[in-house]
Amino acid sequence: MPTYSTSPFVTDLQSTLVVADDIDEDGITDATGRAGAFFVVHIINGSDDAYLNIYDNGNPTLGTTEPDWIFPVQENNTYVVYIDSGVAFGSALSLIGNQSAGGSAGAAPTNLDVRVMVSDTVRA
Amino acid sequence: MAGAKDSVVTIPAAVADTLVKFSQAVWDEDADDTTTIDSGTSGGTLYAIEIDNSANSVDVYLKGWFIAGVGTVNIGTTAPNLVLKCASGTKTQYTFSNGVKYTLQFRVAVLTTGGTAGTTAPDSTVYANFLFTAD
Repeated sequence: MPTYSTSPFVTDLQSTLVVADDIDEDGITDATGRAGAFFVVHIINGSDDAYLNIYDNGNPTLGTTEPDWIFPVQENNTYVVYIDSGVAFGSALSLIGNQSAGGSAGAAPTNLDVRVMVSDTVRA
Repeated sequence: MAGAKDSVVTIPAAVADTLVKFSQAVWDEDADDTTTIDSGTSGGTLYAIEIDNSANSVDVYLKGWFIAGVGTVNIGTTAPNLVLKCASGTKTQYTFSNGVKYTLQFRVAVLTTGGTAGTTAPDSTVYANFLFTAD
């Protein structure tokens, strides 16, 4: 059963942590409710090879909407992606997990947890 | 180190088991124009990729395929394993703490559409630096 949560916004300057435990092929849509930039993505895969698809889109459909970012993670592997200045998303941030490359429709990961740190803007 | 379309950049065996950093102009125009980082055929680990999209006024997407052999990627059809966005007029570095494992070879192209679709290259050259080890 997926569990998704997002820290509350208090001010525009507050960073936000998006938590997606056991993310599936439906994922979390419009996780932040606004535009912003993300700086850190922590991907924890406790099972088979999987992909984290990230969309600058508030209502993406796996297999139809092209992801803006795709991060592969091998089985039982974990890594953190650091993005120096952050990368902006202009409409909304959505996350979907699957086991197929290229944002194709595919089975849900069986044990993929994700943490994404978001701020209001790119820090150049 | 500059490259050409459909080029193969071979990493000498003597350095294939160390961290290697090089610059490569990456682009795509047709279905099989990709650049292959040939560090052998047994895969490796990517630790960082810096994308320089300073010269373009459009967002670009660096796509990576973990597949061996020139001509095996059909851009717009073959699903990429890795997609990284770089906004127009910017330079973005992605650093992977434990590295991203890739199998076989690592092939790259830069397009103006994310995901699998899209065959349009940016107008101006995009440069990328890669930091990786070969297995």
